[in-house]
Amino acid sequence: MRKRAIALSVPLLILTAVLCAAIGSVQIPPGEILASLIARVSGGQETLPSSHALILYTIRWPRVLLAMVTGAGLSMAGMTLQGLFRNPLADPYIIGISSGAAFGAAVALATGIGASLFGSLAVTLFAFGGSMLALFFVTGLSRKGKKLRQSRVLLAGIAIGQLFSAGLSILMVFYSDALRRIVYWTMGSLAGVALRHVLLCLFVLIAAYGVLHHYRREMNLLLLGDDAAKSMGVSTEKVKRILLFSASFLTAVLVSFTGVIGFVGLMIPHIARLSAGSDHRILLPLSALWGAVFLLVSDTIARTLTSPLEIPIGVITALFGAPFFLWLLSRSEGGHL
Amino acid sequence: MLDVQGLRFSYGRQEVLTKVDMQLQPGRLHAIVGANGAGKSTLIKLLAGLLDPAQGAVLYKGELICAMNDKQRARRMAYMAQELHVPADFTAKEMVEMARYARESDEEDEKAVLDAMERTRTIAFSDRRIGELSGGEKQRVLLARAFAQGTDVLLLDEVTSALDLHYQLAVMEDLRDWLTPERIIVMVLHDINLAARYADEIWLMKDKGIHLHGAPASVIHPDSIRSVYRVDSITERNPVTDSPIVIPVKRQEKKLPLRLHVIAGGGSGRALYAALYRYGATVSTGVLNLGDTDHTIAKRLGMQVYETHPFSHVEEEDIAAVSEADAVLLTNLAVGPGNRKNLELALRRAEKIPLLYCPWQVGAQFIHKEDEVLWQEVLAQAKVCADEDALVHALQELLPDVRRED
Repeated sequence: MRKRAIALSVPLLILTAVLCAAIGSVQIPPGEILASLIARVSGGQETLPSSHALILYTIRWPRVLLAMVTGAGLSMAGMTLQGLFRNPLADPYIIGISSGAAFGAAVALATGIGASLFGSLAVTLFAFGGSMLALFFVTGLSRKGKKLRQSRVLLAGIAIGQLFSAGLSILMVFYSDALRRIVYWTMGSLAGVALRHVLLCLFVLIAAYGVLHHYRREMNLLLLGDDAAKSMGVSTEKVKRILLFSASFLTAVLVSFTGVIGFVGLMIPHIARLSAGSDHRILLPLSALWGAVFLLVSDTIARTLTSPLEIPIGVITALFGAPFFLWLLSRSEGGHL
Repeated sequence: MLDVQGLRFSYGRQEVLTKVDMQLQPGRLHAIVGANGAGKSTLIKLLAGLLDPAQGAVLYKGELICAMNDKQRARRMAYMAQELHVPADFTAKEMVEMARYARESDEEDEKAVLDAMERTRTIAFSDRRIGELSGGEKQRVLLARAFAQGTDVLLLDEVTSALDLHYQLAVMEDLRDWLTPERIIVMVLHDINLAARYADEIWLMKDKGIHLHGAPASVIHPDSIRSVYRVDSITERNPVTDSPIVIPVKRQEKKLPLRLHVIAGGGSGRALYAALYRYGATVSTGVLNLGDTDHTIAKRLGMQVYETHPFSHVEEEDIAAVSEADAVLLTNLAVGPGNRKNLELALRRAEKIPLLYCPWQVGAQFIHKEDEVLWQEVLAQAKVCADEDALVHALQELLPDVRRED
């Protein structure tokens, strides 16, 4: 049953991707999208009208791809951190990554630093810098001797997050003309990301997936507690460090490009766990696939519901995700983590 | 052999183990027992390589545990504690399979997992989820996991504490069955009686180190129990396994400063001895035949017992203690030629020493025909204490006299 869930989720993702690419202010029939894709892959003649092809390949596909990559990535990161901290409330931002990124982005948006050098990418770079700063503060603070203590990481994360939030507030007070852009950035958006940057995200996602896949058994063993895992041969300190870093780095890269998109990383791993259990061999691919589908649908709603005005995607994920999640929670018996 | 040399450990500034030396022989079940906070769990974690010693070393077959990497160590020793986080949605078999992490050879893995589950009789629910199992079943699955790790050393921390009597014995029996001449089990046990029953060697911990070690019968006695747990106890024998049984007792903190001599026999003194023991009086008793129920009880309570061989007569000089006693206590014992001298002595002393009669034994009293007059004379001198309260009251009255003499 668990294997079948994965087998069914792959075509579901492809189907969703094609449908979401079809929807927009210019409707492109899904059948034609598929035909065009097949033609391109097989080296044949483009079947779409050139205007449609332009929209599809320069706007829709990069955005669809980014939605999938971001959804999968945040979901994987959330799954990893929930398991690592053995805490069902953990999400990719638990150690203050989002606050760091938001602060970094706000610095760039408010002061315009780096715009002359990097253009619009300055915001992304500053956001990444901010999130890395948060990551290193937290892992640095939470080291006691050689051991990485989960409870200290959590507490340090909350403290660092608060610190960056305070910094963000100060910026918003003193640079009120940038207020609107800062607020919009923190609510997240998948719009306007260039294909090469999407591919960069994809590359980071694949690398992170590889690492997490490699440590899937270790993640299962860590669920039993550090002592039990170590006694069965897991180098717990090393593995925890790698997992924390991988999940956080992946999150940092994604957040830098998309802003803060909440709920995916908290909810999707839970839904996957409720349906298929805690075994990370299944949970990892399932979280990735369902995260991709969920964010793809959410983004399509975000850009089409009140078109041409876009709703921030973070609003959509919470608005539709939360009730569904609560419904699922009320149905399930007991906790799984 | 598991060899512990000069082990020291501290959490921060708090020293937990000061200097521990142990030689844990193979083929044996070793139990580590001791009071709360004696450092038992820390010690077994050090043995398991989960903590690094501040000083000293643990060696297995001459190899340093802390020099091994995690997988090497996991192939030599398995560790199991009371697990708080057991993810509920793994099946029993998946849980046991986790133990094979350090091995990675599929054919042997499958066999080891099945063997371990057979051994613990968990194979019947191998496809059920952990969350659906009872506490006892779950603990046996975890034990199967420890077995499946395929090591020769098992280190167990209080794995029976949460189990009911049935599962406690089941787990202990499984462990004994698993033991072979080259294997070692070391377990921290909360229950000293379980340790006494199943362990070959007991390591009694006190004050951050090993206080005593050896076979259960040599380690477990009221003195060692008092020094480790600060509690009085009596040590019995399990009638089935002949292993020691510790019965902890609560005695009055302020001891009764009286010397008392008890004349009893045939079990008539049982309740009286128990009361005097609890009040902490200095008690002598006799003369009693070897093998008499009262002889056994009084000995077990650490009282001074004047004894003689069965079917021989009591000699007067045997009971010098009577003249030093503050009171002589008499039960409704069977009266006859065997203890006539006891009564005559009591009667003779009755002018100087109070005689208290405690007829607490239920049932008819046997009195030999020839001794009926003697018995009536004794009773005429005695003050009757019908129950424990009356006795305590009577003894309290004796106290001022004692002080005056001092």
